[in-house]
Amino acid sequence: MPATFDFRHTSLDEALAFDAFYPPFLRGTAPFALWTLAGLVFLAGIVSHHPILTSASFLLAALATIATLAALFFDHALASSAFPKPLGDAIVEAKTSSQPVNLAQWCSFGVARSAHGVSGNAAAFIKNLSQTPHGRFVFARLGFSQQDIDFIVSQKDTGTDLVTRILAEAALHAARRNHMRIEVVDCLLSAALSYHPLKQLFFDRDIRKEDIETAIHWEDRAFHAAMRRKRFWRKDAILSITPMGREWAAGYSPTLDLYSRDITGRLAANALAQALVRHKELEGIEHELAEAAENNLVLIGESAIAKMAIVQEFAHRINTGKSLAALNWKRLVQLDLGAALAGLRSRGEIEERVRAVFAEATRAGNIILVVDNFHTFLGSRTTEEVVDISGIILPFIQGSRLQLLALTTPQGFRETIERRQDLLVHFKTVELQELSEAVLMQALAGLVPGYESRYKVFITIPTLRTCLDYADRYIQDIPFPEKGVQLLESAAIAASRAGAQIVLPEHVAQAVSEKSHIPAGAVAESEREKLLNLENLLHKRVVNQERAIEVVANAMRRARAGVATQKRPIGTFLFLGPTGVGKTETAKALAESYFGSDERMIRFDMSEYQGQDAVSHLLGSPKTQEDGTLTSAIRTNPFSLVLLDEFEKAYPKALDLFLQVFDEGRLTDGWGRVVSFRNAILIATSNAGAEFIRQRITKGGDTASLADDLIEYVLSQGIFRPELVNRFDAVVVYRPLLQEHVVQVAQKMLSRLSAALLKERGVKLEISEDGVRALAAKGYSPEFGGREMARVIQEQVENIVARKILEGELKRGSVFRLTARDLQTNSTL
Amino acid sequence: MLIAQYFAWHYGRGLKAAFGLAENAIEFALHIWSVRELLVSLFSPWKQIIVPHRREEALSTFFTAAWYNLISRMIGAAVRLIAIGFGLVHAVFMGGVAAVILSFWILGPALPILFLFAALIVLV
Repeated sequence: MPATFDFRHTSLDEALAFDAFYPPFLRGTAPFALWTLAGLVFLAGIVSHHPILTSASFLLAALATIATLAALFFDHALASSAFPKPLGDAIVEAKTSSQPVNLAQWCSFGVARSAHGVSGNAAAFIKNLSQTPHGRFVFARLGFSQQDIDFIVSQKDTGTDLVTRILAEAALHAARRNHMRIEVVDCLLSAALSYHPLKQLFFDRDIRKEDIETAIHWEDRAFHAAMRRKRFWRKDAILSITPMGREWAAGYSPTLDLYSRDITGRLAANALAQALVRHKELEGIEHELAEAAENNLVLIGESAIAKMAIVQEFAHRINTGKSLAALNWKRLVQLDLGAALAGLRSRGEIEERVRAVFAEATRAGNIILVVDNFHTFLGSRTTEEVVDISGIILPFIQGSRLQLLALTTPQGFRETIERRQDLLVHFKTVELQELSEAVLMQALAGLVPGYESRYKVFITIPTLRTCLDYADRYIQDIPFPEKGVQLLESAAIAASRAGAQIVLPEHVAQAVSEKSHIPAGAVAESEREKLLNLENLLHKRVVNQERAIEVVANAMRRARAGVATQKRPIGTFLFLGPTGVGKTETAKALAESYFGSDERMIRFDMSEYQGQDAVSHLLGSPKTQEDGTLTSAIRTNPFSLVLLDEFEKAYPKALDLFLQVFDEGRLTDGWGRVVSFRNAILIATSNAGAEFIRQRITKGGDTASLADDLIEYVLSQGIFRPELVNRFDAVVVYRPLLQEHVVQVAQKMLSRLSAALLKERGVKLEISEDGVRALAAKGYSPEFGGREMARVIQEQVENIVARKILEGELKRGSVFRLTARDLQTNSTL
Repeated sequence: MLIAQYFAWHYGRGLKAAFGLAENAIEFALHIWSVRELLVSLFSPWKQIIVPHRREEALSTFFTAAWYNLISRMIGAAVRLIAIGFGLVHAVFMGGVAAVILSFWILGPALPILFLFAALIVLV
């Protein structure tokens, strides 16, 4: 039998009646007001010796007592009555029983009040839910206004018995979330998934189930934090007050105190720390540090914030007696080894200082020493500047009295600590796992109140999700959660500067664009125009090659419209064709159109990577202490066009690297760091098959199948492997240029030169039509297409202009004219 | 029905919560003065200031060191005893406050009537 929700004859029914008689406003104010009034009247009676006033004060006290006890009775008894059994058991019973099971008594008072008197009207029920404090919080954080809620209420859902269905589904959500009662937020989640108008609005706003769950989790935390603040008399609140005399059995540590900070008890309420803590790792730390023999630990993690979050939460737990008995009430002291060693020159001075610090930490008996970036003090690198303190601290670490919590990065651990077996045997390790999206959302949500009060803005969950999405996509060199946090703050600043009250996803996009100079977010009008006219923009620089331009432009539109997968680079192309036909020019034009400047193009001459060491050159190697040319270039400029010239000439294993780049959009460098190519466009060029193209064009055969035939030719000749060719978004075939095309090339180059001359020197360049043709004739060759054009213009035009400017013949405002005859004369000179 | 429910709550869960409150008040005093921890470490050397000594050292050196260490322990015990004393006084005071709270709670339902009587007595 299905569950029913009949509030009649339950304790909630009585609570509703009581609530109507003694409403929340009175419950909140009447006790305090009556007690205050009674006190004042009593004082007045004493002062004036007027018995009526004194008597009235006792009457008021009687009323105040009743008001107080009634309010307490409502909050602690009527509105939160005990259940006969846990909610989960009741649900199981409802599913298996042949009799209907009434789950109404498991509803919270907020749900009961929202459902009261709605007579099965789901819209009214949802409106009531939205007006509870929990409902207001969730809707506001999801970015909904009162108008949105009114709109939902005005819509009709034709389903039957909707309120019961929403409640029944909410009961399941509540049981799943270990809620004791069916809360308002459970009903909202249920309504969002089953009530059509609400579901539709969430879909239209791209609000997902995870977002609603984040809002619920956020609300839960905020509500409980507020409750904890109010109930200062609770045991955990009392124990969190720092006591006196706790350290009287511990030793002094004057030298250590100079170069360290005591983090015990600090930042106890750090919301970010609480959100980022993974209990499994925290328990690991406590367990390892509490063991009698193994009391040193290395905490390995990429993110500095995540590591410190765990340390802070650990500090909070030991300071409130919630950790293990062996650790409770100890001091967690973060040593600044850099500061401790600053200014020390001789080995003897360093040894003396380090020994003093570690000896004090050991002798004190209540200190757990935290050393951040521990690997930097072990000096496995051969540079002389790096201090190696491992020899000095080893005796302390070997003993059982010092407790050391060393923080390091995976790279630092691999390269330094792991290689020191003598040291490593005295450490246990705890590795931080990658943070899930849900945890990251909660972490950002925890920071929101701080940013909201600092920048006077309101931040919604869709904005937080955009922050995470964009941080993941556009920021490569910083780990999570740091990059998400930084982006959130930048977006809040952007919104605050713009005078906006709500931080919108647009502000996040703006923050990304300001940092990376890359268009992010919804395609702006100007960019939309640019993308739709990309062919024309590319044709401004590239002559002929309509098909090639069309293929590239389509791929770019797919990427920006979000149709293409985001796990791969923006675009990967193989440009095949003879030399001098515009392959590089297309790449430059694309870099200019998409990334704003052709300086965003990173060029690799792959013929330089023919040797066996090609892979280590591209990826870098700890052996040679060199960064990879490819990986470091893309890490520094993730938003770039990577041009891989003469691709076919690279060492085969180097080409294999690109299989992963094209497929997954990432590569692991020689140091083990992952480099993302997801914001890059990769263009490989090759002259392979140029002769094949020339012959086909000369023969005048079927040009429609040229591309397919060329690919077949390239594969049959073993120039590229099929799995590599298949991974390109498009293989673009460039046709040889004819002389009339080269005339256009010459015109474009001359007009660029003319514009530059006018801007820089104020000299106007006028070249007659026959002059352009003459230059084109000199610059053209069937073999090299228009490649010689730049050299010819340099020799025949630029050199002469330069000479005339230096001779003073061409001044600002002068016009330099050039005809075919002039060119002929010049060449005979 | 509601009245019965009220009394069941007041002298059931409500009274238990009031006892919890009273316990927390006493706990607060013991915690803030670290009474338990100071009792456990009552005779520890003050701030771990000790002179290391070994049996094979000269007898005079050994006894001097032992004497200094005894003094350190005595100073530690004296300071801790003072703190423990303050803590116990504080705990007794908080116990008194707790007793008042508990009395009020136990008398709670009767208080309006008592206040009404008081009002009448004052008038008469």
